[in-house]
Amino acid sequence: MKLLNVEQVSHSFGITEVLKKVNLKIKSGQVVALVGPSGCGKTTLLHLCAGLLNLTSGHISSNFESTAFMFQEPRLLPWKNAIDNIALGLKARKVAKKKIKLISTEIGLTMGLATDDLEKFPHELSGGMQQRVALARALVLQPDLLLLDEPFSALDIGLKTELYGLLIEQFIQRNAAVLMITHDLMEAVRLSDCILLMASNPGRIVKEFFLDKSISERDDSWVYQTTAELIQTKEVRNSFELTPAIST
Amino acid sequence: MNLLRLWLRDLPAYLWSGWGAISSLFLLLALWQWGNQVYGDLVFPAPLDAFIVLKKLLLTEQARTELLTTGWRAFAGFIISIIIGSVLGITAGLSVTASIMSRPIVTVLVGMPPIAWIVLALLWFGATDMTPIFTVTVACFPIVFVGALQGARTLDGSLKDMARAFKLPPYMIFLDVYLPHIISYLFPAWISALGMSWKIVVMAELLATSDGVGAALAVSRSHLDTSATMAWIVAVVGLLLIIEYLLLEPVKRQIERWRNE
Repeated sequence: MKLLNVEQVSHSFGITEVLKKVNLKIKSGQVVALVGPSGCGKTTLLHLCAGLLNLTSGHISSNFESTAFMFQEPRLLPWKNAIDNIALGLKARKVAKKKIKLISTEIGLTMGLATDDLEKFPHELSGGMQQRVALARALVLQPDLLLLDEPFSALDIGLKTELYGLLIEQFIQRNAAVLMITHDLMEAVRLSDCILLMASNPGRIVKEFFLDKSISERDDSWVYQTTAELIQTKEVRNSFELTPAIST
Repeated sequence: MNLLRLWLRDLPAYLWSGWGAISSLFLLLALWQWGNQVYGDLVFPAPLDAFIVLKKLLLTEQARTELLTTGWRAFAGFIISIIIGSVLGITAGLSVTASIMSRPIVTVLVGMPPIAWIVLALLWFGATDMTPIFTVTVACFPIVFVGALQGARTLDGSLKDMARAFKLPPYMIFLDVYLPHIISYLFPAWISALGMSWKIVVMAELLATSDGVGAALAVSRSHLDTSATMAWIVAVVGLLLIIEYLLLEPVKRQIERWRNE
C-alpha cells in the first residue's frame, strides 16, 4: 500500500509559527482536500510534502513512486512553447525525444488543447489554456501522487469544473492519490474523499470529515446539502471566523 | 543549426521590412546633401563625392588592410569584454553581496572617459595592437557586466521552485530555466557593446597607432581631405550597420520570439 505519512510536522518562518504538529495520511486512490482560511499554512504544508521547503521538525515519509506538483499559477517557461513545457518532466527523466513528442502531444490533446495551440508560446495562450498546459505537464509524468495548490482558483467556474473533471478522471483510472488545497468548501465536498479542516495561528488540523459517497455519484444537490451541513459545524465556523450558527 | 534554419527562413521577410530603414537612411543622406549645399565642398563634401572616394579607397589593397586591422582589433576587444563581462556579471548577479558591491565599481568604470583609458593604455602598452584592444575591452566591459548582472538578478524565484518540484537536473535548470532568461538581458547588452567597440577602436587608433581606420582618418585630417574623412566614416558606420542588422538583429528576433510585444 502506497502512503504519504506526515507526522508531527511543525514549521516556523523566523519567529512566526505557521504549522504546529500536523499529522495526515494519504493512501493511493484517495483524494484529500486541505481546507482553511487564507494564511493558515496550507501552502507551507504542501511545499513541505513536495520537498520545496526543508523540514525542520517532524517527519514526512512517502513511498509513492512519482509526485507531481501544480502551483497556483501555471508557471510555464515563457521561452518554451506549449509542447516543450508539457515535456519538461519527461526531458528530465531522459525519455527518448520521439517518445516525448508523442506522449506530450497526446496528453495535450486530451487536456483540450488544439494542435496549433501546442506550438504556441505561453503568452499567446489564454489563462485557461495555460493552466491546461500546466495540468498536462503534471499528468504526463503519470504521477501516483499529485499535490495541488489551488491551481484553478483564477479560472471561471465552468472552466474550473471541466479541468477538475479531467484531472479526477485521470486519477481514478490509475488509482493515484491527490492532496489538494482549497479555500472553497464546496469544491472540497465535490472532489474529495476526505476533508481536513485547518485553522490558523498556528496552522493545525482541527477536524477530519470523511465523505462516503463515491465522487462520480455526487450530484449538485448532494454537494449543496453536504456543504451546507459542513458549514453549520462549530469547527468550520471557528476556523473561518464566521459568526456562530443560529441553530444547531 | 536550428537557429540557422530559422534565420534563413525569416530572412526574406526581414529584409523586406528593411525598406523602411533604407528610406530613413536616405533622408539622412538628403540632410547631408543639404549641408553640403549650405557649407560648401571643403567643410561638408557631397555624399556622392564621399562615396566615389570610398569606392576608390576600397579598390586599393591598403584600405582593405586598414579596415581588416580595425575590424580585428574591435572584434578582439569585443570578444574579450563579452566573455569576461558575461561570466563575471552572471557570477556577481547570483550573489546579493557581490551585486551590491559591484554597483559602485561599475559606475566608476562607466564614468571613466574612454580617452583617459587610451592615455593609460598608451603608457602601458605603447603604440601596439594592445592599446586599442585594451581600450575597447575596458569600455565595453561595464555594459556587458551590467546586462549579465541584471539578467542573473531578475531570475524568477517561482520558476526555480517549479524546476525543483519537477526534479529537473542541474544542467537542465541552467540550460532551460536560467540561460534563456539571462540571454534575453545579455544579448541587447552585447549589441550595445558591439556599437561601442567600433566607436572606441577608431578613436584609440586615431590617437595611438599608425595603422587602421583611425590612423587613416588622422592622415586625411592632416591633408584637410574632408571627402576622404567622410568616406572612412561611411565605411565604418556601414560595416556596423551590416553586422548589426544582417546578423545580430535577426538572431535576436529568433532568440526572443517568446517575448510578448
